Amino acid sequence: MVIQPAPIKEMTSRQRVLAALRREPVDRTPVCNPTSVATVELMDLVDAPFPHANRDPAAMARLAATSYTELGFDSVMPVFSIVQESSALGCSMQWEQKDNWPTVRMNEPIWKDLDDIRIPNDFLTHPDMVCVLDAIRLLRKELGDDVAIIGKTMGPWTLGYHCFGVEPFLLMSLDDPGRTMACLERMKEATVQFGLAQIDAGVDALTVPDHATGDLVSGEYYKRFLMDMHSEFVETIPVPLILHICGRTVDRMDYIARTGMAAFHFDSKNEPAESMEIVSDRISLIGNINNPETLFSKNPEDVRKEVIANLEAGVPLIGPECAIPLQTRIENLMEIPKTVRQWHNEHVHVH
Amino acid sequence: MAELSDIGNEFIRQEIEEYLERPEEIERNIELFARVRPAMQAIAAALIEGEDGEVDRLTKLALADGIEALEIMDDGLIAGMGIVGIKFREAMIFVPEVLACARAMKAGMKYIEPILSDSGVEPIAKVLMGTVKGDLHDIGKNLCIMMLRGSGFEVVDLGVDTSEDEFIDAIEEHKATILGMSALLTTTMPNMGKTIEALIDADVRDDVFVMVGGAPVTQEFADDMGADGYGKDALSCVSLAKKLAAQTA
Amino acid sequence: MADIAQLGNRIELVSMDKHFHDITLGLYEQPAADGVSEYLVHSYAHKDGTAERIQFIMRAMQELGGVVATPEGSLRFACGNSHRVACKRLFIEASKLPSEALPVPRPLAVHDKKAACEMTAQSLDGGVYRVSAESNGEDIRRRVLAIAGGLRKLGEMAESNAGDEASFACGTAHDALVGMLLVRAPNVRAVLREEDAAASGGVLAAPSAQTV
Repeated sequence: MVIQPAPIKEMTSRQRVLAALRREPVDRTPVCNPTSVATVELMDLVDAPFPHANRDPAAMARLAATSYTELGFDSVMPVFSIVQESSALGCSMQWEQKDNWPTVRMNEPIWKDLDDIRIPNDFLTHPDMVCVLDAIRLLRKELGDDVAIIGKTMGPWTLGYHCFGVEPFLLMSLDDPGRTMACLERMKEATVQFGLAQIDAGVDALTVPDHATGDLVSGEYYKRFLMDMHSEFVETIPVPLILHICGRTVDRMDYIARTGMAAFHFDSKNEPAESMEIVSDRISLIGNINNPETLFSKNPEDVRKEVIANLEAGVPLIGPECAIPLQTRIENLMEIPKTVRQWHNEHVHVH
Repeated sequence: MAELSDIGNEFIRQEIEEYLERPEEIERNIELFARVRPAMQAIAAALIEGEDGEVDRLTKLALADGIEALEIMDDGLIAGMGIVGIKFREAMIFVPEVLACARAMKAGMKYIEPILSDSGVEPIAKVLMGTVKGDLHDIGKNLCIMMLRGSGFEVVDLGVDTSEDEFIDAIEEHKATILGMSALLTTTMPNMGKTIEALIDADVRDDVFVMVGGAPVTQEFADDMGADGYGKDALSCVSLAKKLAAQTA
Repeated sequence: MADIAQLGNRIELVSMDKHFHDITLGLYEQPAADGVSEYLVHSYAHKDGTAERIQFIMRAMQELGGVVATPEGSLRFACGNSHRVACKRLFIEASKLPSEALPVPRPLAVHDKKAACEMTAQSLDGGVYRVSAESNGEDIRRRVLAIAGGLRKLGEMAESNAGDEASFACGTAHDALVGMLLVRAPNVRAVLREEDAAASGGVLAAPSAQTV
């Protein structure tokens, strides 16, 4: 590895994140979580507890801002969960309490077949959608252009789980792949609509969680059902897109890298170095600090080791692997940007 | 000692040859399928292929031919599910395929279960099964329930998003031997520990064995939470339940 | 925002204090100058009354577990030992009490359902506690040993004598602490697993087509 002095002048957090998403030189590796870094302690700090912070724009913005103002991350991401679209589509919701995530009652599916799929005319004016859009506007107003605001719009596979139920949807994918594809084609309209609305509201990038995870389906499934659709999103949604899929995904990373998406937010079940080799500079990786074992259960020193492993592998954006457990310690989260800064002070950039 | 060629069903022979790698599993399955009658091999093969219609038809036929319900369950359905479990563990098939096989098993069990219930055979033990609070995933739980029922347990399905109070009420109402909790999300895993806390506070912890499972759960996590056992998949869940039930016998 | 460094290392969390507006409470460990751990309860909540609620919990920890307050407002064990694991349990138990409650130390006895009798932890000299049952029998003896083992795990205590004793390394009696831990001792999983393994050692499991 050739080490050269870094000629890049100091960037704002926003510039840093956007440059890394475009795989351009940066002053230092950005720290971000394209999913969520909300914790119960941060909720207390800004008086924005769940479920209120998932349904009220001011509380949502206050809590989202803490990732930048308190933790030192380079991005803020106000959509903590993955349920807003499903709520607007008419799913039965469970908003839960402070220390638990809102969820969709997937055992009460709203769709059974292709003809049931309907994106309502008032989809974007549903209160839970407006909450996100207003929170984005508040964040842009409060934080200006210093920090990257990342929005989130659910991919059609995830919407399929929520609206059809996981088991029926997966069985349909096996029993009738053609019908499944047709369903995905209809549901993707929700993904695009919400994504475009968030761009209007002021996001710099969008996370697209689409849970064709290795824990449930094969890599070939991703290629068959989603790869082309994700490529299409790159054409129709004009901001950097960050695909998020949990679990072991090395068997589909090559397909993901072909989509043209800006970044892939990857899980700790995948080795950073192996993942970097597979994607081979075709897509930026974001991750992949382990949540349940490291961030939730261990100490800052253990967090530091994982951050360094990712930095040494050349992962261009560092962060937790997924939405962090709500009880995660603040000091563990703060260790991530702290370690990244220290590492960069001790090393210089490769260009 | 039986050999692969002793198995009459070609599909089963191919499944063992192509997908089984551990010597003890190869040996056990060869012994099993070489022993069972062709009609049972056919049911197992149809189940492995996820052909629920065929399993339905063959189960009805076997019963009409006078084959005992228990034999059909053990030598046809559960034997087939054993191969499915191995293939799933080795990532040769994924959840959609497992769901199709589970659907096929259900198709057969709908004839078997009533016969076994009417037969007056005592269940091995009563098991309460639920997904923890905040978690609405139930694929794993449902597979475990199916396997437990098929293995002779009486199971009360508490559903998903089960609160601590619901678990406690169920323990008091059903007087079960075992409580099984599952979680598919890392964010809901801590609720297993909270539930066990609640069981202690309600002074019912001693009334049940607690077993836990789910994709993100580990043995270490289960031990830290104070569970009595951990099962990494549906088949492990059954063997763990048998082991725990034996402790009260 | 509180200076994280000054709070120390968060070792336990009550995510929703049901007796005070669902605020989140953290137990922090800080090393004192003498190397012994001191503990602080902290919340990031700003609600009126938060400080008073925290003060109640810390007072309750003193009553229930015998920790003492330091001049700086932390808690520590007067014996000079950290007793970290026990302190985490103490914090959780104190947080379960409403602020109107009068915290009272638990007795050195617990009813064990499995043995269907009362188990007692007798305080001997030097921080040693002996667990005994009011009834006899082989199964009951097993439960005595299991509960003593549970106590050792929960209190980070050592084994001494015939396995029915647990002793603190500090050599000091902590009756209040032991009374609190005794409630949990019968259910410590790791202890039970060791007990089961010892009971089933040497037994051949019958082969079965369903065994995996």
